[in-house]
Amino acid sequence: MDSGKFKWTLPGDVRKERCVKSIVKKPQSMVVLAVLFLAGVFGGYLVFMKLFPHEMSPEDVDESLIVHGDLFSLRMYYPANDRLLMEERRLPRRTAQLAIAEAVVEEFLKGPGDGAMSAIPGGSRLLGVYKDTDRILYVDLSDEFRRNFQGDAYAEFFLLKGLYESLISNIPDIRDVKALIEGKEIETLGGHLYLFYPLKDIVSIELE
Amino acid sequence: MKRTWVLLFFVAFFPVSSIFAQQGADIKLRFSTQAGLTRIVLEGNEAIIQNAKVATSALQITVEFSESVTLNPQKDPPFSISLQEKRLILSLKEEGAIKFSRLSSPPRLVLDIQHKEHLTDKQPLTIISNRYVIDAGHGGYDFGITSGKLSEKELSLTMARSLGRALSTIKKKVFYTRKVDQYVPLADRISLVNKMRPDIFMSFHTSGSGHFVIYSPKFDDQDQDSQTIADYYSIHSRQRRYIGKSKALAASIEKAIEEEFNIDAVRRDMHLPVLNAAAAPCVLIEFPSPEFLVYDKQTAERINNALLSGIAAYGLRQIQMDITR
Repeated sequence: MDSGKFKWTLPGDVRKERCVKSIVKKPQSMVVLAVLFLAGVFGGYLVFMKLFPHEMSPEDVDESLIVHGDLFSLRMYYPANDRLLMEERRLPRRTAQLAIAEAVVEEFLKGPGDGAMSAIPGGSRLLGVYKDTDRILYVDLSDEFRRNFQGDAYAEFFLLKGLYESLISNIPDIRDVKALIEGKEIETLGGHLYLFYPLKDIVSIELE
Repeated sequence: MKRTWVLLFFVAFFPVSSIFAQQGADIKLRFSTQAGLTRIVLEGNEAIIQNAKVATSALQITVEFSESVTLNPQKDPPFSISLQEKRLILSLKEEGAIKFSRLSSPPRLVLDIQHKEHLTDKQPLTIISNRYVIDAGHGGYDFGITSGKLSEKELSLTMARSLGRALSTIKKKVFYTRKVDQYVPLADRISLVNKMRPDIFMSFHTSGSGHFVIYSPKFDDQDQDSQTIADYYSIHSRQRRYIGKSKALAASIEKAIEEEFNIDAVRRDMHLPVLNAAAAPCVLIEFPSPEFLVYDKQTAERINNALLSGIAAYGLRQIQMDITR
């Protein structure tokens, strides 16, 4: 039987049977079909995305984050003497804003990589992250963040600025950041700057 | 035969290795004496000179190096030298006022001893300002920077009380934000300053570095027009009228410290709550970390002298400005 060609002149059932047989016998045809199937799925996905572009809330997805497969990048700012050092961190992908905020604070508390001297108070832990309706992000830290802080006025400024910049540059939907210690507002972290108030106005001033 | 070679090897290399084992960083000691002033210069590598701690008393200078040193002294010094690994003790034959400074190219520690009979009587300082509030930073559970056994809260209180005593002896009115080891909130410190209406407000802290750091209050230009959160919380409002005087005070103190210690002080403008909310000419001073400066009686006296000179110079400058207006 010449299985390489099939003719459409044969009656219905016989024609179908021959057709299937010819496909099964020809591996090239299987590949072509598989490619066509995948192209269809991909095309459908694109059409679906185009038809429903606002299906996911912008509050849930941060488009500014650079997503590489299952990883995404965070821009971290660590205090280093009289300036901030930027470091990029790659972490498993997450999309919810609060989950990203948690990842940012946890990475911040770990301190800079490359064995650089860390100005982050030792033993500090993240207790929680919340956002209010005014888009202020509350970062609740353990008492070690206050108790183990060892620094002068400049060190305190750059520690708070590093925390603020790390959050604001990775989560653009928030307006300001407020730090809490053990769930409470405290007057000052290191005895030089107010911590009662959100950080933006305290850390946004450029120092000479 | 083999044994003989091994023995010879040990005999030849043992003295060499023991010399290397004992050798520390090289320190050259030079001195010169002229018109009642003895200058001692210790020269070594940068790290060892920068990290050396100096403690002085009227008859003795102790230099604690960060590692063992080998000393190469100039012959026949007019003082006795004792070296115990890291510690160098210079015992003077007569009392004197000792000043020290660190210089670079080449790195060296310079100790100037002005002998007592040659000390010129200094002109008494004319201090115009009469009312002072002195703020010892931190306190209570807030230790501030801790360096060995000395914490910032203790050092700032010691220095505050020392300056307060010096001002009281010349009939000046002095108020303290705290006199004992207790925590005082920033808001209470600010309230006290604004209640007492001092001519000068000074806040004392410790730096994380080896420098004196002098802070002046700072405002952002855009604050003039906009009501920022900081304004709303009264962080900024009260100092505006005094900002010029505060900067003049900081400049005078900076100059006096540099003259007294022969080092560059660091000047910074920063919106610190205790400064920006104070309705008085004010300055916040961070003293060098105890890791870099030994706080003995003589150091405290020198800091007091510098601060009093700075306050005196500021007062005179204010009078000159009032006359020219």
